[in-house]
Amino acid sequence: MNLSEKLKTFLSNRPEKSSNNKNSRLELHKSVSDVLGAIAVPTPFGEHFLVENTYPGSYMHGNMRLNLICNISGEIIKLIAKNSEYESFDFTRAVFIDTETTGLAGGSGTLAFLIGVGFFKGNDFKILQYFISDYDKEAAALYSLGKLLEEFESIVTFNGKSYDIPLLEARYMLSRMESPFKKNFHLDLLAAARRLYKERLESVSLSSLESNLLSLKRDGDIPGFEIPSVYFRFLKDKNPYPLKPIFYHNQMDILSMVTLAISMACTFENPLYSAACENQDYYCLGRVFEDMGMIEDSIKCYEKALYVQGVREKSYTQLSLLYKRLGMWQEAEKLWIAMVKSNIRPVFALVELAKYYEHKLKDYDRAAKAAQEALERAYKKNTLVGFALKEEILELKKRLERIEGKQKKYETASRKDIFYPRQESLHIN
Amino acid sequence: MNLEQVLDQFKIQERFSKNITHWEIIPQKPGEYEDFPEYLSPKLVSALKKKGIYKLYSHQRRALDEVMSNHNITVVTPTASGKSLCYNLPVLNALISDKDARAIYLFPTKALSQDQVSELMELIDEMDEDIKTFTYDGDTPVNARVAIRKDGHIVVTNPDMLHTGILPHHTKWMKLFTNLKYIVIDEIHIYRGIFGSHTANVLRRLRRICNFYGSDPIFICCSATIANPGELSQKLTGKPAVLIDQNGAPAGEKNIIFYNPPVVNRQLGIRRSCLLEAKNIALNFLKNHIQTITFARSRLAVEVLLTYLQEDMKKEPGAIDRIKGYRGGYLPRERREIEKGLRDGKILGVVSTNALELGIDIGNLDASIITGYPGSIASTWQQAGRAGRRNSVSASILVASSSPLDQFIVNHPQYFFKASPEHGLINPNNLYILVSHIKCAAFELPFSDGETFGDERIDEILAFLEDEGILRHVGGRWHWMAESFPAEEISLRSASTENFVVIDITEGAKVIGEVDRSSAPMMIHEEAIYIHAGQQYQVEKLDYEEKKAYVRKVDVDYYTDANVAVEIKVLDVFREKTVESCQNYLGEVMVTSLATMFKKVKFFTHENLGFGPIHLPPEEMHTTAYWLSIPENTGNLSIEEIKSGLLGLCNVMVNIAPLYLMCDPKDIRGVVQIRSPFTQKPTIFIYDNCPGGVGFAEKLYDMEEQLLKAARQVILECDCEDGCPSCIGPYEEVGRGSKAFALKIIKGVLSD
Repeated sequence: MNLSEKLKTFLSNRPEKSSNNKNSRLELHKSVSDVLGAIAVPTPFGEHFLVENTYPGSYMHGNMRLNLICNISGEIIKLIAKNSEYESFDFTRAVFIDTETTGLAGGSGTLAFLIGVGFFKGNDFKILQYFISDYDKEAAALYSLGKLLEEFESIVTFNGKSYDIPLLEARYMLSRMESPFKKNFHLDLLAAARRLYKERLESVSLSSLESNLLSLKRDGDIPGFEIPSVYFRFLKDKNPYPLKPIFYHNQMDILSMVTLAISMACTFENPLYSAACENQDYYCLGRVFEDMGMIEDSIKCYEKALYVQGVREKSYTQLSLLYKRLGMWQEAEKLWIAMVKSNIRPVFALVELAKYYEHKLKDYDRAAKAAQEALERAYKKNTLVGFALKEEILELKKRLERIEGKQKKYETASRKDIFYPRQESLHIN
Repeated sequence: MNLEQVLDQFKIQERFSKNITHWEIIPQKPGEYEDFPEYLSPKLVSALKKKGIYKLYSHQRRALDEVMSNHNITVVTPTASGKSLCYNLPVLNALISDKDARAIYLFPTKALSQDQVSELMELIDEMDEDIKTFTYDGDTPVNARVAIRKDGHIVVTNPDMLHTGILPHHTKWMKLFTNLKYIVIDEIHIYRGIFGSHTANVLRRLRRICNFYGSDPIFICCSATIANPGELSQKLTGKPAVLIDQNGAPAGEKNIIFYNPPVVNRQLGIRRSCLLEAKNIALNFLKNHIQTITFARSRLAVEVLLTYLQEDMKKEPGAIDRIKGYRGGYLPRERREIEKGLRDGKILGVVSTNALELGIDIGNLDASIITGYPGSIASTWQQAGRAGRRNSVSASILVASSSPLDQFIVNHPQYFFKASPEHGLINPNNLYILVSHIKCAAFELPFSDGETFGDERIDEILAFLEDEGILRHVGGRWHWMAESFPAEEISLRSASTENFVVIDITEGAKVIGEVDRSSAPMMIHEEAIYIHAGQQYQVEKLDYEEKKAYVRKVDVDYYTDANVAVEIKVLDVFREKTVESCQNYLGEVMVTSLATMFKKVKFFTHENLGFGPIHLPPEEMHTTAYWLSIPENTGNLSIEEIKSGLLGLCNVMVNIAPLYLMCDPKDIRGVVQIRSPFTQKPTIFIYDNCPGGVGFAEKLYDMEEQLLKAARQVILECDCEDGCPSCIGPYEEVGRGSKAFALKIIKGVLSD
């Protein structure tokens, strides 16, 4: 049947609309509150449901106690956020936010029907879940959430910078309400986790982090992609049972954010001897420390990473360039020579050596030798790979020519003065 | 020789002059000027003066004045009449005094928007004002998008991007929508048919969003010459507009020459190739150093013509570099260079597809040659308008092909010069299109009870969508209730989203084109020869479920022609009237087409080389149709004679109708029924070839006997003996004697 036929058929036997009578509304209340443990909260915009759960601060989620998070110092938070402004960030005055939505595509037609927020209150960690049991309850829930958020100065999310928060801001705008998210701080743990674990883990999704870092296994969870259809079914049949796993899922996400933050903090506190940190992570740690100007720690981490498969190349490169920048030329030279020997980005290393000899040491013989070797290697690579090294080769040729020019000039000059070459010579292959 | 002398030669030399069917001279016209208005910012005035503009043309001044009084305007002016100032002046003038104000510029193509942006930027740079203009389209880098949303004063985009990229994310564009003062829509005559009907709905959505953010922008539309610019812009934008169609730009004398290549085979109605004729005429100009643009209808024809011209110009030193091709598929940089070369005169000749027909700035040339009627009066004027200096003579020559439409035009110059040009027809309320956009609109903002869309009441559609489980009605509002992102599933350039992709598997697998669903059984059945950009491909496999056709390059001397059995069933009659002795109807029909078999037809000789079956399910389509029935005893013809005559008449009508509808010839189709189950009489049906229809049938219904009269004229004036492709179609198709029978039928039903 095509569209116009369908429309005609529909209009000719249009079903009588079942009116939402009071009885069914009462029943809905009862079932949602019984099954989900929700209470109805009145607001100037009508009622919405709220589910409240309290966990003692000593509650173990995965391998961590929740209240450990309160001990994380500003120094460490700065590193997690990779931003020194976060030094005054305080987890006890922050709220953890996670939403469940009607679709991942984004855009103004996507609703966050369950908004979970977690925060510390006294010795406890509380999770409030604002549930929008139908579209017309949204304004009420957003209103209550806004009121709650007034009490906090920061927010913590997992991928909230690009997903949850813009989506909620859009919802506030659509309901013509002021956005409550204009906060001092927004710590997005996904960005932090990506910085630390992207080299080691194939995925830095929350579930991957849970199983790889936090020794967590969920029981009775629902896969994220099924969530929208479960909610749509609930809108039609008002059966709250299938929603239970979604509420569980949302709570787990929030608890895992706490544990993840603690785990990252441990790593930063004791980078070389932390259980949560291994192998490729050292390179990532080195990068964060370097970017934050903590050079000693950075060097330590890179040094460890030099022996880790997968990040060796990067670590050698990064560390040698760091030395170069710091003017620690001998250390840098050592690394470059090691790179040439072990065939780790040899052309790069040789070029760096050539630069060093030419500009720093003004040892044109060795510079020429390094550049020559680089050129040969590049040619070899070119025949092996068979493409696109032309520019690199051209540049190397130019460099070599320039060095040789200087070499000649120097030779003419040095005929008058006796020249003693440096003792240690470069051994390359 | 200068241009005048070359034209004189044309008149004298018999080999040219005998083929000229019409020579129209449009006399020189002085410009009408106005002073800059007092309210125009001094910064803007001095920027204009720096560019050598000391006065405005009357239509530019009028546009400014009307927009200043908060009126929507629709400006209709020919090519190169300073049209862009009609919108740039009011917009910039407003932005200078109000840095919070915002404007959206919509262009139908990317190339055009680039050209307009660079012109706009020049003006802004001259003023040294902080007015940020950004292009927002599929090529805009993600990191630039945030800045555009926040800071772009003028956002230049296209309807497709507005549809999928901007409106569904309107909350991110709050600043733009809250402060939106102007919406500029250039080239509105492009927004017709399906594309126009979609765009009208996109604009309905845009107005809904503006309303939400409390803005009510003014629409500034520009159009080429069409019959109904005011009506089109009103249907498109949903708002009435002041029509500004008095062009104040000066123009030199203009010669428009219709040229019909000589007949080489009278029986088959075959004429000399218009490509070769166009080449000879172009050479005449180019050898005399007259700057010339030659339009060809396909990319392939552009390349062929270019090769011919370069070959023949070899002897002229340096000439080859001065003759260029221009078409889609050339790199943007190449195109910019050619445009510049044309402006500064370094390039003498260019061969182009209609890519250069739209408002890209290439300056004004001396001569334009149009190879084959471009399909509409508006396009022809645009292409002719590429030649035309402000104060010297110019010439445009239309070289006709053998097709019926071309032949009609060159033999009836009065239609071209006197009769009203085509109508830009759109039907924003086409059910399929409307429902698609109601979905998108509901996604963007829930509908409230009783809310209209455009001016349409849509309660029934909303209830229907609720029943389908896509919307949820609660608390007096209709909310989007699906995971999908509706705008992504809807293409503005076709009615249904179901297209077949054609994949070339000669080497690897490469998508070379798309075929809409309804044409698929005819064009890409297995063993069909599919011709794309002049290259033949044979269809090896048609995956009907997956909507993919796998083709391989071949070089054969035949093409394939599918036989399609078309059944038409009347579902509903909207209007009905008697015109002369015919009964005319407008209504809804169901068209069922079943491809049964195909013929292999040899090129040139049209010999039949064999048959093959086609096994594909029938295609069904609901659409709008116009049909007319004639009395059974018309002209005292036998049933067989009536059939043959009606077939011929139907062919002519379908072939010339696009002239009045401003549509592509494939947008409408005709069917003949000798004894229609509905009318019980011999009947011709002409229907919109897209689900739901876009208004072509309705227009034909309103034309009354005009179409029949035009058909009669075509048949009477065709030189062929018994039917040819230029009139009723080849006699193999319509039967012997069809030409005479068709005339008898017309004579029988028309009283004059």
